[in-house]
Amino acid sequence: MLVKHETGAIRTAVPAARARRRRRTARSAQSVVLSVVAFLFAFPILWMFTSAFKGTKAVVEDAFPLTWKSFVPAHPTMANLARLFTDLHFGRDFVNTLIVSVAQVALTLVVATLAGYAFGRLRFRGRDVLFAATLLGAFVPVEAMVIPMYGVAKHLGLLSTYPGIFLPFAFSPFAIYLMRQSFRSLPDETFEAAKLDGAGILRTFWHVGLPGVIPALASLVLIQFINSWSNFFWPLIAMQDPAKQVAQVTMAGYADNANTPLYGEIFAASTLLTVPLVFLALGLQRYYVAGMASSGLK
Amino acid sequence: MTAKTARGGRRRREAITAGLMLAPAFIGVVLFQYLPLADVLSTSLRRVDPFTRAPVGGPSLTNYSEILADPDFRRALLNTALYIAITICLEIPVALILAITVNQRLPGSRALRAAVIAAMAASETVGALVWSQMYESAFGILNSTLAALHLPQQPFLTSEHQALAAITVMSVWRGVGLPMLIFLGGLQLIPQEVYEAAKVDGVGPLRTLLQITVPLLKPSLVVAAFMSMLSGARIFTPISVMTDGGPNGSTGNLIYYSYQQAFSFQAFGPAAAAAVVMLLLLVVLSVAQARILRSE
Amino acid sequence: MNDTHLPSEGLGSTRPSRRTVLRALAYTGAGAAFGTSLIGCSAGSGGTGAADVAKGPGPGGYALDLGGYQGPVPRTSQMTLRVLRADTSPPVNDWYAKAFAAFHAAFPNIKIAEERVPFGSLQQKVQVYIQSGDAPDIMMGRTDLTAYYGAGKLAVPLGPYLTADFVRKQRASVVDGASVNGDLLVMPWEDGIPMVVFNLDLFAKAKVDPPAELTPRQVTSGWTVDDFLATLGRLKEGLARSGDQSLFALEASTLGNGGPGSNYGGFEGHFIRMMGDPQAAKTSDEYRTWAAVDEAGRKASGYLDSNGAIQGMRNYQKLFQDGLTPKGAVPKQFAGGQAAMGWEAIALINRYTGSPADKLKFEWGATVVPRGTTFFGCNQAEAPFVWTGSKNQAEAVALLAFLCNDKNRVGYHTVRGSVPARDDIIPSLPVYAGKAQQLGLAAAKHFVGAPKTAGWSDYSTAANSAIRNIALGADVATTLHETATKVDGLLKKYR
Repeated sequence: MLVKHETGAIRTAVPAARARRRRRTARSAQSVVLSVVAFLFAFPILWMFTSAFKGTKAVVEDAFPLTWKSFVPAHPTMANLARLFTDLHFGRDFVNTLIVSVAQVALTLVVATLAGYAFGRLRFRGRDVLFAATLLGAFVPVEAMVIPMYGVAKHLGLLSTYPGIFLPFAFSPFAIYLMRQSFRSLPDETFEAAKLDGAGILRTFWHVGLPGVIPALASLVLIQFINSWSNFFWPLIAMQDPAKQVAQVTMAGYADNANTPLYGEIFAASTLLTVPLVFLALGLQRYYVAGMASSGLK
Repeated sequence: MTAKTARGGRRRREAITAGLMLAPAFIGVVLFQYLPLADVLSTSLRRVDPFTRAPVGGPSLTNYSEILADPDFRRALLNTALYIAITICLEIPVALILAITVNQRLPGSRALRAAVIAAMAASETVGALVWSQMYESAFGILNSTLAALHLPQQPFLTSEHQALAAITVMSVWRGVGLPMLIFLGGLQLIPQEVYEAAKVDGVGPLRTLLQITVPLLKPSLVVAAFMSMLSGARIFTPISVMTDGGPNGSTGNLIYYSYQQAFSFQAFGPAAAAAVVMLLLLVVLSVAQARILRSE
Repeated sequence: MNDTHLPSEGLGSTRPSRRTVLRALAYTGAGAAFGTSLIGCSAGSGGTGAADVAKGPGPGGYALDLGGYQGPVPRTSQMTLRVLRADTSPPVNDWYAKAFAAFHAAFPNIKIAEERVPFGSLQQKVQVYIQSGDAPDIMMGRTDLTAYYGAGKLAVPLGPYLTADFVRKQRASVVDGASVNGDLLVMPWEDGIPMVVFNLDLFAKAKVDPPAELTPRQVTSGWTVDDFLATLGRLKEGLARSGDQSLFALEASTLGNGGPGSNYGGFEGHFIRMMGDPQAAKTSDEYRTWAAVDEAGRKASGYLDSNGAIQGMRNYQKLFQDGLTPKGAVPKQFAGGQAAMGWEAIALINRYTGSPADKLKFEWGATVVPRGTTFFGCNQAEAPFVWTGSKNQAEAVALLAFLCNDKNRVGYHTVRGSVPARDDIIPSLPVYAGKAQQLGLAAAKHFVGAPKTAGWSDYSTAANSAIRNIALGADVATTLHETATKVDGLLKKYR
């Protein structure tokens, strides 16, 4: 019996091993493909990153003709970074960007979550009309509205203040839309159950609604951070005090330096501006990964 | 206290709570979106002074008739539609494939997710700058690669037929992370049992995708399609960086047209009218999209 | 000194690869933001408009050397003067900071709030401010927009505040470019002179004779545009024979922003303007070619698409069709030894000679720009103006005049590298003793001046995109006719 059993096991083990091997090769082939795609996706960013460690002269000279030097600095230098933080006051501008972005993200989260819940989960007259009306603002870009926006900011005394830079964008229709859809896509049963338990509107929002939209909130944090972080046109118009200007605007000024745009410094500044976002995104990753207990489903 | 009045009380409470929850959003939207929008609308309906933007004379539709007669405007309108169409057609399928791949946690998928998100994090200007270099006709990386493979060189940004697509590809590279994240969120809401059941029934991977995943992802698809439409319509920086709206107006869209009318040609009326047309276009498209994708 | 900075536009500068970098970073729209201008470099008439109004004690009678200021004594009430200008390199920023501090020390009640924006965004910001009725007292404008400022009554006439002697010291062509109907609307600030530089090593490699050496007396008998194109053609053949594929006969334009359609004032416009003649009869094709827009400023048809303009643009198109210069914006090809010739601003040539960091690694020479029907040298410069809505006009002019006193001008041009708007301080700037610089200064005396029209911004933006299409192969005559019709429509609003 035992022998029989063993031989049986052996008999089945051979194809199983073969299948495992096949699966392994398939998996490694897949992972090679994925890694190649990942590299291609990251290529422009990597190129920016390596250029940050080249002198401006090298950036210009290595671009043409194309050699390995175009991609990898032949003589890596930290001079760009050093110059950013001495001559160019990049540290101060970076802090300004950070202040504005954090404030914009925090305010957006509050505003959009509240409004999204009201639009997505509460019933009241005129709900859908009001919702459609909030979307209108998303359809006209700031480039087309900058002059009247300047007028509004001036009347509210917001020119040359941090709130003046982030307030206009904290009431993002797009964020409200995203949150409304997220609340709507949660299963109705949990809300019914909460109602039967006698939970009030706010308690339901807090204990049933919010935990279910964590991935959406994580996306929202990232998107708003990116938007605020790369905002150029409005701060350019609304900020008159050089000490409070954001990095995106001052970076554009490097192009006017010393008659050759400071490519090295520009790439270094871009890299510095991109790195925190990448870390933020990677830090938020666990909220996107499937298999996380989704309390909305319990 | 009857059940009816209790229900009515809850209704009222719900309405009041909703009002309070919406208040902050509405104050902001009115101040920073409606007021400027009203100004744009009124500017579009008058003639304005080319130096001070002060209105001249009474209401009139001349700005609208002027832009409708302008071939550049018609081209910009068409291009806007093209940008939206190409963006949606590229972004949604690519994002879906990326999300499903990343969701399966294959080795290498972490790197892929990080790369997609890093692309998202690059600012538009820097992205456009790097891609301009890559597209360069004389020595760009893409053409060097084509040359190495003995394929003909491509005038990516210098030909009327390719420039718009080239810009859109760059924009999708940056923008695809967002729908991917939305799909990832949606995939989490699909119970694993559904897939196990499909496996037991011997449903192939492609049919699983089309008949199970896509229908169940419908809410996420609605959001992603709407966002893609907006991002396709709002491409601006890459146009001004990479092509200036050329060659022969083949890449200028409504925003670019409006911006140029205001800031290069001091034509504030037509600039505002073009912005209003863009608003109307997006309203129409949103309604159509909501109709088509309405989840029953 | 080795970090001098050039004027950011037109011939005042070399901004490699504007399309890809500058505009990218500056987020500008179409050519609105960048140098596309023509200011006369002619020894023009130069009506000064500076009537000798004795309103104040004049030079020497103030708490500070206010240069040519003769307006009322600055008031003693508390005030803040807002100044808007483009960001510059740290040494130039320091120069401004020191000058403002000195002014504030002499007039403690006057605070100066300076706002700096990226160069490419300056014009947008000026526009937003003016349309919102909330503009700074002093804004850095552009001399090619003088007529626009005049038509919109945006700039305060400076004449009454300045002594006639001060205005006489400025180069006549600059004053002419800064005035409308005899009113000086922008402060003469700096100037630019275009030149052609050539790499002798690459000429030798291609076995082509370099341009003939000129003395300052021979500037008007240099080469014609046909000689120029023929030389480029020979260079291309010779360089191709040498086997190096990466070399070009002419570097991608570095004037303004590089690449085709980048700089109508600094480079492309040359090809049209040189085919025209401001002295010819008003109805002639030569006059219309030069004028760009009719005298009333309403019509570009028959001007932008005149026979001369078409010929000029065909010459320009040749550069790209024959592969003499790249179709994209390639940064600094000449300085990098990748192109045999460059069409550059004298300010950049100053860096080749005056700044050790920018010394070229090859033998090189400089000559004048080529002639067409006339010897045209367009240039443009930044120049500050005082806003008509300012509550402190006299004080604002006083500040500008202080920045333009002799000592401050020498200090400014030393760090900035641009050409002074007046000849009397040139001896104080050692770099201008150089051979190339002397040749450039001599040429500037003979240059034909540029046209002026209130619709210049519209005109040059439209022309720029037409030129870009022409460079990329569009039919010249058709493109110019269509663009002229388009400009006619744009100019309607100035009626």
